Amino acid sequence: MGSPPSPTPVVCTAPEEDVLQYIIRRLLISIPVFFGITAIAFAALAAAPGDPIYAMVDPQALQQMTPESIENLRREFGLDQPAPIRYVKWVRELASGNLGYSISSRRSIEEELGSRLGPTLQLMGAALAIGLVVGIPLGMVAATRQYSKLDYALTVWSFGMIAVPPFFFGLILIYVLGVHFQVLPTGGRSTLGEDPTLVDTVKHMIMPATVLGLGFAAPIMRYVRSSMLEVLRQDYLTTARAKGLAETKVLVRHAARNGILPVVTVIGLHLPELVAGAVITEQVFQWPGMGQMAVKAATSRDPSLMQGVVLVVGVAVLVSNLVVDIVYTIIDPRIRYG
Amino acid sequence: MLNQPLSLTRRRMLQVAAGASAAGTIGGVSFWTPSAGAQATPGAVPEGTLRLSMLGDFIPSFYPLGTWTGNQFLLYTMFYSSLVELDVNLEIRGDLADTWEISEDAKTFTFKLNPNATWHDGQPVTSADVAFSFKYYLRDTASVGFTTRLQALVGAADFMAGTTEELPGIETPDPQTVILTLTQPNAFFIKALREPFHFILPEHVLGGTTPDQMQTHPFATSAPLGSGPYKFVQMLPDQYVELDAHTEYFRGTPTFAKVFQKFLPAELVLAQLESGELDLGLRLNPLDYVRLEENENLDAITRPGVGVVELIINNRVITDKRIRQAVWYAIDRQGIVDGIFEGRGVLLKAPPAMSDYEGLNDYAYNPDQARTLLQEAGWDGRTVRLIYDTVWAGVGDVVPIFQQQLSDVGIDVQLEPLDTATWTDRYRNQPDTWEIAWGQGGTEGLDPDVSTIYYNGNPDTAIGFYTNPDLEALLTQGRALGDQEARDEIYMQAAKIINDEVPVIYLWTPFDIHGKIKALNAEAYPYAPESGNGILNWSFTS
Repeated sequence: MGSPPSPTPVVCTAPEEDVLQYIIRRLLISIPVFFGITAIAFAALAAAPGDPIYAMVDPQALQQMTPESIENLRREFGLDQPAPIRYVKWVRELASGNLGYSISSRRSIEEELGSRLGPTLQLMGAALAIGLVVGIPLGMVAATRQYSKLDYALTVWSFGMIAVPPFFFGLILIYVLGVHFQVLPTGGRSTLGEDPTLVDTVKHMIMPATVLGLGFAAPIMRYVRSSMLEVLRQDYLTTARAKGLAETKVLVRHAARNGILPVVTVIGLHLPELVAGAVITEQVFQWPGMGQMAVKAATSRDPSLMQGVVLVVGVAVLVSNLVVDIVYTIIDPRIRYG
Repeated sequence: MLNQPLSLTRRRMLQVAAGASAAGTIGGVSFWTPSAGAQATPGAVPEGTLRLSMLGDFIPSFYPLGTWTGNQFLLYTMFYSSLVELDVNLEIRGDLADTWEISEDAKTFTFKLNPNATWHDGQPVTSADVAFSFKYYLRDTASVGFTTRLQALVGAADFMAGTTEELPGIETPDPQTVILTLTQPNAFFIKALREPFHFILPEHVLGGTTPDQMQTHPFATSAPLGSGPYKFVQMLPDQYVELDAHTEYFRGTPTFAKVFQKFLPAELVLAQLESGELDLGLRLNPLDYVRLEENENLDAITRPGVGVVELIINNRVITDKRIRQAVWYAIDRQGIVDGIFEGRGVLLKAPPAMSDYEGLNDYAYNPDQARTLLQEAGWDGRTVRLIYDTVWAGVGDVVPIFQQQLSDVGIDVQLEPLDTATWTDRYRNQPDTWEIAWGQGGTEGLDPDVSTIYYNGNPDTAIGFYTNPDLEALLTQGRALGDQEARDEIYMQAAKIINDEVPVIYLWTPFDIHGKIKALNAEAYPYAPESGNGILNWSFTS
């Protein structure tokens, strides 16, 4: 009993055209979203208690400053205007490509972001790679040996990794590898006074990348495990086995392709972190990245620096969401946008 | 065991300062010559690399008046020169100035500069640079508060107002002579010249610029030029500043070929000392002391600092001095210093440099007395809010004890942990949101004179909003005196007022804890950021 054939064939538009329209629509929606993000961030920082001038000046020096000189300082940094006006000014300057300068470091925001993006991309890229290389195979192994001792051990490990705060794990690594065995530098990004070489950078990166990478790996492993378990019960795998395929081929060729689909979502969620950095881990390991800078921007109530961070991270979130959605249409034919 | 003898009390420190002063005023005309030390062996070659670090912020700006953090001051002591500086015993010694002379009326200060002094680019440092710097600072409208000492120069007001380009208070009769003249006598003006707002700038680099350009000028952000023992190589943000020996340095050849000033998070300082990545860590967390002591490669250096831990009372709200006194009595300070800081703190009765005068109440722990005072004052039992900045080491361990002990005598305390910017904002601008504020830091221990900036007579900015014309008059009087005995007489009276009125509860002066590797000979200063003044005397043992 089959359904009767359609009298008229369904006309399919070329999928490329669909995707293109979709991208354009998404990009257009991104514009108001982007202004929303930056405006909320600006308002949040402006509403935060505390004053950038007080965060900047030593209390003893502050005690000697007259109200007039504090006002002068405020004016010099353009902080004497109300927040909405400052935001409009910021947007206007942004339109002409000027991000202003940091009141806490006195450097231009471009310079600040430029010097931080590289180190953060490096660290977070390495961490994400570790996360994938460790998380995906472990998830597959755990799924295929469900309820075995290995599965339980990996489950305990992954929950441990999720539960242990990164600063604590970081401090343990510093103490063991840096202080006790002295095989790795405890912090920083390069040996003092030397131009960074690949080997030197890698040595400095091992500990922070491990902390972050294993932090990524644990949830990835959980996702892959549960998704693989679902896939392994599907009929098409039984079919594959019935055809006489070897078990490894069944797993790698047939099961894994669908089993690791949710990983795309997980990676998508982590993509913005590639540029946002890791606040705590960068702090503990003195890694000069975006996360460390974001902490500084917040504690010093530095409006233009904070906006710079929000700008980069906001764009990254929007772009990575879009990329993930598009990638889905390619790797999962069931998904269509129109 | 403490490396520093406990006999170094406030009183002792005062006497050290007094000694310097007395020696200098014999015959009414004062002469000083640079202290011994600071003269390296001729022909010595700088070698090795010193890596040092001090806990705290660093704002990567090299313009001394822009803003300053302790880490900037530490860098400046190695990189810039001032006319005079303090040595490790808090005595004034020459930096750019070889000799100086203070007139009998304590108004005129004549400095003879070292003829061999050069900038790091080889140009000579002259009296014109000194005059240029002080004038530059006075014209920095955004930083007027920093220049209060220079504002005492004759003609400063007109010069600042821009009505004239002349500043009669600074004369430079020849390239090696600087004469500063004050409108009011102030023998201790000389000591103020060690503050970070008096480093000398190069006129040949900054001439033609104005102070308002300094926020983003390359001199301030990436290419400073100084005349100290070490010259600037590069700065990596939040990593380190790299310095090279200035081999032509006029006061002797620097001992280290390179110096790295690292900016480390608190978690890493001790770890890097232990792992051999750091040679000297200044101002460690007091709770790290035991781990330092236990390490056979490390030395713990501990000495009373010049700061203070205090509870600032909101005198607008708590107007009855008996209540303020009751709070002081209610806290077991000795117990806290012993129990939490293992005895490394000196209890105070008044601002640190005035605490050792005779006849001050010591406010020893006495909860019964506190209850009696509260009853007499008719305490209404309301909740008081204690605001504190969580970055201060050990504060989180101490405030719950305050809360408990004050509750025992009938004062309910609500603890309000804040970050620095919020604490300062609440403290200064929202006086109706707190009754007690934990304050910490400062350099009041250097001299009673420093306290005048806190008791400034302005009801909006004075410490605890406390004003008292009698007290302010005494502090102004003391500031003008050169004779130590006369000063002591005046400051003792001031201390008695503060001790009785309790605008602020002076808790204790914390000891500073520093750590270094055993192979390094180095000394930390009472005010830790000034330690770089001693760097010519530091070295590695082979």
